[in-house]
Amino acid sequence: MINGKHSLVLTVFAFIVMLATLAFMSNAINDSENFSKLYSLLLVINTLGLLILIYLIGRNIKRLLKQLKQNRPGSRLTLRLVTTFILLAVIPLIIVYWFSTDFIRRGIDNWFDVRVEQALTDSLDLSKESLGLRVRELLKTTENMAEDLTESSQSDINISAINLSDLQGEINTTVMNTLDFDTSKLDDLRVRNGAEELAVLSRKGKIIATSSTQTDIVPDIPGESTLLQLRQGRNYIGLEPIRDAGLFIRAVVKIPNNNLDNKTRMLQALYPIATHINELAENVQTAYAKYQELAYLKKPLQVSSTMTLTLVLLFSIFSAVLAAFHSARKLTSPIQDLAEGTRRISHGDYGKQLTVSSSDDLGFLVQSFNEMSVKIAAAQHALDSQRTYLQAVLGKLSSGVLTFDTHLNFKTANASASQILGTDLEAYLGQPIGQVPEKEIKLSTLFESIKPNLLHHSDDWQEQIVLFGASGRQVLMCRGTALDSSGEEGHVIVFDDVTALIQGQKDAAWSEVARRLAHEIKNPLTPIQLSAERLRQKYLAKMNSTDADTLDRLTNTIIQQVGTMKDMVNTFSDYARPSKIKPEPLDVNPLLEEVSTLYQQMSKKTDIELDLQKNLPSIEADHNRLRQILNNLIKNAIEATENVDKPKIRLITKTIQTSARELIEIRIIDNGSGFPEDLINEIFEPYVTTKSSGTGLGLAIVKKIVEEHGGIVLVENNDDQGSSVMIRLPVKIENNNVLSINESKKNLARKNAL
Amino acid sequence: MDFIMPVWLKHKLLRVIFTSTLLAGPGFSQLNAAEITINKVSSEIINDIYVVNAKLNYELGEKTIEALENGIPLTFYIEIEFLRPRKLIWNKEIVRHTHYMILEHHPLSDQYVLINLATSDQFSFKSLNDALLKLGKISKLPITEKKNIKPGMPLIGQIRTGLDIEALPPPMRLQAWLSSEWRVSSGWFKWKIQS
Repeated sequence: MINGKHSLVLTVFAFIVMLATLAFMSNAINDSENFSKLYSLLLVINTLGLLILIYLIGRNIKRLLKQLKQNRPGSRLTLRLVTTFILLAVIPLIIVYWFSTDFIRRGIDNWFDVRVEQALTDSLDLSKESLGLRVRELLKTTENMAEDLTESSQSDINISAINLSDLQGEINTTVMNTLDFDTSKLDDLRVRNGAEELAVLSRKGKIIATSSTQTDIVPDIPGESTLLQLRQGRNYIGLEPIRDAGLFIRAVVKIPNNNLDNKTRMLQALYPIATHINELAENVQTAYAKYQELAYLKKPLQVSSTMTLTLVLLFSIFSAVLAAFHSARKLTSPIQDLAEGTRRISHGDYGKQLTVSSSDDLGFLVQSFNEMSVKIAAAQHALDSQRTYLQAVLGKLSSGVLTFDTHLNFKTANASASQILGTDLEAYLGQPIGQVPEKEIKLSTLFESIKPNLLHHSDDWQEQIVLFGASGRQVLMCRGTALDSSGEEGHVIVFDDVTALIQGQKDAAWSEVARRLAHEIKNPLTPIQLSAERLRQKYLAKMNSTDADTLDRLTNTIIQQVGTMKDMVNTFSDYARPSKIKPEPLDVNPLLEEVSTLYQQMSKKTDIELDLQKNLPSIEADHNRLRQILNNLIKNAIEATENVDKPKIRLITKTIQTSARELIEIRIIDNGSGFPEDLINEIFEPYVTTKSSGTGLGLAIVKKIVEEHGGIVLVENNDDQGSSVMIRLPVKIENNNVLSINESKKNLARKNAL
Repeated sequence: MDFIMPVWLKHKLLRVIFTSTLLAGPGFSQLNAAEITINKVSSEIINDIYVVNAKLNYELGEKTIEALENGIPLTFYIEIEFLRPRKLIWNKEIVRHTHYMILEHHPLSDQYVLINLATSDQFSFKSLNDALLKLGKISKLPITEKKNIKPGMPLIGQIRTGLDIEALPPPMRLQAWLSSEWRVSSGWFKWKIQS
C-alpha cells in the first residue's frame, strides 16, 4: 500500500517528469533536433504520467467517499473544498484550452497563404523555365557531340567495353572507367562544350568510355526508365541534383550508328549550372519543398499540437485536482484532529495534545484545545486523587458506608459494608434498592428497612435495624443523610455492627448484677445459717417430740435453702469475678477422651462417639477451665437426650484455617430435643435456659470462659434432630514457643551468672 | 507480417479503436496496402569480409507516396543479423547491422533522390519505380570481417526492412504508428550462411 508520504512524493515526481516531458514534446513538435527523436518516448511517458495522476486521484476520491460513508469529521468540508478548488481551477483552464486550440488551428491555417503558395509555385516554374532554355540548348549540343563521336569512330576510335561492374561494391552497380582507347576526342568534346563529364554507355547502361573533370569519380549512370526511353529512340535531358554539387543537367542521347560493330551506344553528358543560378534555384527548391512539407503536415501538426495542448490541459487539471485534495486535506486536518481530540476526551482520554501545525486561526484553535485538554486532565487528576483518598478512608473505616443516587440506585459501598453484611456488595452496584435477590436476606432486609428513610427523609436520620442471617441475629446502627438538602444528589448511609457492643453491655450488666447479688446476699446467709443451727442445737433437745420434729424440719429447711442460696451466690460470684486463667500448652483430644470416658461410665445408655482429628495442634488454655466447659456441655447434651430412644453424642475435633490464623474446632452434637428457635440467639445469656432446674448460668459461663481463651462458641439446631455446640479456639502460636525457649535460656544464663 | 509497433498496440482491439476513432485523419486511411517483401538473400565472403546480397521489393501506399511527393523524406531501415542457432533457447546474436536509406523527392528537377546514409552516396531517378528498384537491390553490403566469426560456427542470417516511423516529422509519428500503411515492415527473412 502507498501511504500519504509516498503518495506526495509520487505526485511531485510525476508532476516534475510530466512538466519536463511536456516541454520536450512542445519542442519536438517544433522540429527541434534535440527532442524530435524522443517524441514517441515522450508521448508514452506523458501518457504513463497521466495514468499515474489518474490513479492518485482515484485513490483520493475513494478515500474521500469512504470518509463520507463513515461520516468522518471534516469529510464533508473536504468534499466542499475539493469541489470549489476544482471548479475554480478547471473552468479557467477549459476556457484557456478552448481558445488555445482555436488559436493553434487558426495560427497554423494562417501559415498558409494562397498567394504565398502561388508565388512559390510560380518561382519554381520560373526556375524550371529558366533552366529549360539552357536544357534544350544543351540537348542540341549533346546530340552534336554524339554525331561528332560517330564521325570519329569511323576513322580512329576503337572502342572496346570492359565490364568492370564486379569491381564496384555495395548497392552502386556502376562501372569504373578503364578505357583502352584514346579518350582525347571525348576530352576535347567535353572541354569544347563545357561539360562536367562525358560518358559513352552501352545499350544496357554499361560505361564504355568516360571523360570527366574529376578523374577519380565514377560517373552516374542513368536509371532504367531513362535507358528504356533511349532504347525507344527518345533522347533524355533533365535536371538532376548531384550530391554536394548542386544541380546538374544530365543529357543522354543515342550515338548514331556508325555501322562498324552495329551496336547501339549512348552518350551521357553532365553539364554544370552557373553557381549563381544554381544557388538561386536551390533556394527556390528548398523554400518550395519546405512550404510543401509544411502544407502537408498542416493537419498532423494541428492534431499533434492539439494533442500536446490536451495533455497539458489534462496534466494541469489532474494536478489541480490533486492539489485540491491536498489543500483540502491540509485545511481540514486540524479540524479532524480537533474532532478526534474531543471524541477522545469524551471517552475519558484526558490530556490529549494536538500538533500545532500552523499559526493561523486554526492553529490558535488547536492551541486553545490543547490548553483546555491540559486543564481537564489536571482537574481529572485532582478528582481521581480525591476519589482515591476518599476510597482509602472509606476502605479503612470500620463502619459500613453505602450510597444511593436520587433514583435509589445502589451506587457505592466500602469494604467494611461487605464485611458486616457478609456478602460481596460489588455485585449489586447500580441496581435499584428494591431489586436485591431474596437469597441475600440481610441485604434485602437492610434495604427494605432504610428505604422509607431515603424516600421521606432529607434530614439526618438514625435507626437500629435487626438482621437475621445464617450466623444469627445482627444489630446494625444506621445513620443516613441526604448528600444535599433536596436529596437530588442521593443519600449516604453509615452503619455499624453493634451486636457485639450490645452483647458486651448486657454481659457487663449481668456481671454487675451478679457481683452485687454475691455481695449483698452472701453476707446475711451465714448468720442465718448459724442462727438456724443454734436454734436447733439449743431448743431441739428441750422440746417435746412434736415440736422437736417441727423445729427439726424447719431448721433443716432453712439450713438447706441457705446452702442452696450459697451455691447460687458462689456461682454468680464465679460468673461475675474475672477469671484467673493459667494458660499452658494443652492437647484437646486426650482431655476430650478423659471427659467422655467419665460421662460414658455415668450414663451408659448414651452412646458417646469420638471423631478426633489426629495430630491436632495444641492450644494455650487453662486445663481446668476447659474441662469445666466440656463437662458442662456434655452434661447438657446427656440431659437433652434423656427422652430419646437411642441417645447419641458425637464429639468432633478438627483444624480450621482462616485467613487470620489457625483454629481448632470442638463440636458436641447430640440427637436430643434441640434449642427452641426463639431462644437460640439468647441462649448464652444468664438465666436463659430450657431446663426446669439449674442456675441458668451454665452456658453463660461457658461463653465467658471460651471468650477469655480468645475463642468463640456458637449453637445451632441440626437439620434432622438435636443441636450442635461449636467451640473454636486459637492454635498456640509457635513464636510463643520460641519466646519461651529464649526466656528459658535467659533464665539459665542468669542462674549460671549467680 | 511482423510490424514494428509498441507492444501495447499489438492488441487488435486497441489498434482498431485508435486507428478508426482517435487519430484517423486524412492521409492515413488504408487505401492501397503498402507491402515490403524480401525475394532473395544470399551472403558470401569477399576479401575476408562477409557481404550480403538481397533482392527486396518495396511497394508504397498511395498516402506514403503522397507524403513523399509533398516533401516528406522517407527513411527505410535494413536490419541484418547473424545468429548462432541454439536448440533450447533463443539464437545468440553474433553480428547486428542496420543500414538506412533515405528516399526524397526533388520538386525542381522532379527527381526521386535516394541517399545512402552510411556512405552519403546519392542517386537520382526520374521515376519512383526506378528509385524503389535501386533501393531494393542490395549488392555486396559489407556486414563484418571474417575474423569476427569463429571458423566452422553454424550461422544463420536474418534480414528485415521497413519504413522508419521514428524518422518521420514528429507530428506524423503517432498517426503513423497507428496506421498499417505506414507501419510497414517485411518481417524477418532467414537464410543459412556458409561460414
